[in-house]
Amino acid sequence: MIGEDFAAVLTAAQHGDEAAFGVLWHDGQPALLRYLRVIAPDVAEDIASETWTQVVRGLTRFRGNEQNWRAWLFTTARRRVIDQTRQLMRRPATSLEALPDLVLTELPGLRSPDAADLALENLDTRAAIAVIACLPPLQAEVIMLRVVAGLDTEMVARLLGRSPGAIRVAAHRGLRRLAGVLAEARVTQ
Amino acid sequence: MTDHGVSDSDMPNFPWQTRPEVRALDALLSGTYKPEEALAGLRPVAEVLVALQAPADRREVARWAESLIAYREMAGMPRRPSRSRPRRPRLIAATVGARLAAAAGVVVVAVLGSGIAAAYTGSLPVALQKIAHVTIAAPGVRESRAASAPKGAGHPEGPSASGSAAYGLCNAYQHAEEHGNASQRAVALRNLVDAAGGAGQVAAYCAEVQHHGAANPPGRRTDQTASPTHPTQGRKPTTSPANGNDGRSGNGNAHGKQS
Repeated sequence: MIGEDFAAVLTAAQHGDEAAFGVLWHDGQPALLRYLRVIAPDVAEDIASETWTQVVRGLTRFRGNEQNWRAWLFTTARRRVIDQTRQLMRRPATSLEALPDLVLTELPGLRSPDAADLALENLDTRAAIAVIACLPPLQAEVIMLRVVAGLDTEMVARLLGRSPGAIRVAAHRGLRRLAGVLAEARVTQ
Repeated sequence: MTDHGVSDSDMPNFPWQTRPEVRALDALLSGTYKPEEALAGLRPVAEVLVALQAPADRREVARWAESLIAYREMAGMPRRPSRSRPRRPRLIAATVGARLAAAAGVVVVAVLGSGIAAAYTGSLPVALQKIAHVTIAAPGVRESRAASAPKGAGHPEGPSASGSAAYGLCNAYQHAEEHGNASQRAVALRNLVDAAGGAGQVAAYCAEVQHHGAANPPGRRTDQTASPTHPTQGRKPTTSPANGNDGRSGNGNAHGKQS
């Protein structure tokens, strides 16, 4: 998060200051990419780039604080994922493997069962993303938006089109399930 | 039932399902919970959440140049019109203006044409006769015409897009790339791309400029080429604008304070 300098950085970026845009990008990109690796791992890099292109187009019109900025960034990314998923599903020859994970995660048993073991053995960011991706899609997405994107419950609720209560329940269930998965992995190690 | 067909009652009974533990879950989500302070059962979860927020690695920011190019293309909009859309109305306005001027000229010629004979005979009213004398009979009529309808009327004058001015643009870009800050680089790049007629034309444009510079007689050297302090004199840009400048302007420190 950029913090108290955010307003000045945003204003400078809106007036063509590349360095200021660099601050926004380097602050947002890692979180954006990690979020996308959970909800659409196969196309995460491409969608992150497309998201920035789209954000740049609307940059001068954006008004809001850092929470609003992050909400906009992640909302844009999520819409790109949904659009891409719809496009893939319209194609008759699309195979299951070609679908982004947003679709695949609806099908139980397709996630890697070794992710939790991997996370315990080598707890780097990629392993942590892999273990979060083991969770049911809504729970995983809510946790990523709360923890990685840094959005509060209200923002996540708006972004996902659900009630704040439903978001809170999903987040708690996700963490509980994560604790269970990690405990199981520890036992079987 | 849970998503995978396991009822909630079948899930392991963890101690944090009580109210204080719910608060602990909220604290985990808001990032105010350190792994070492976590309850035993929540510690691995806290560790995973901390790993999710680790600093970026190199691969995660590998596409910065791509976004920077998009930004350079779009960020110019508040300061100058983009190349495609806003130029069209200007072109249309110029075309319409030229046509109106031509039409007005035709009308004036038609009206005056019939009166020329009268003017030479001195049969026009005094005021009109004076105008006709100045306009068509004075020796300096060519100069007068030239003054009233200059060849370049309606076209802004600026540095030629070739020759010494172009050489200067290429040099300025090269200098900004090597010694300028982000803002100077952006301005130099924009000027050069404008002059070249597109980002893809820059290399060919500067190569051509180099050729002209070499062919120029010594007496026609420009300020740019004659500057003794210019460290890149005589060199064409070696950096393609499409390469961006990875990470160089991404640290953004004091620039972020500008408004």
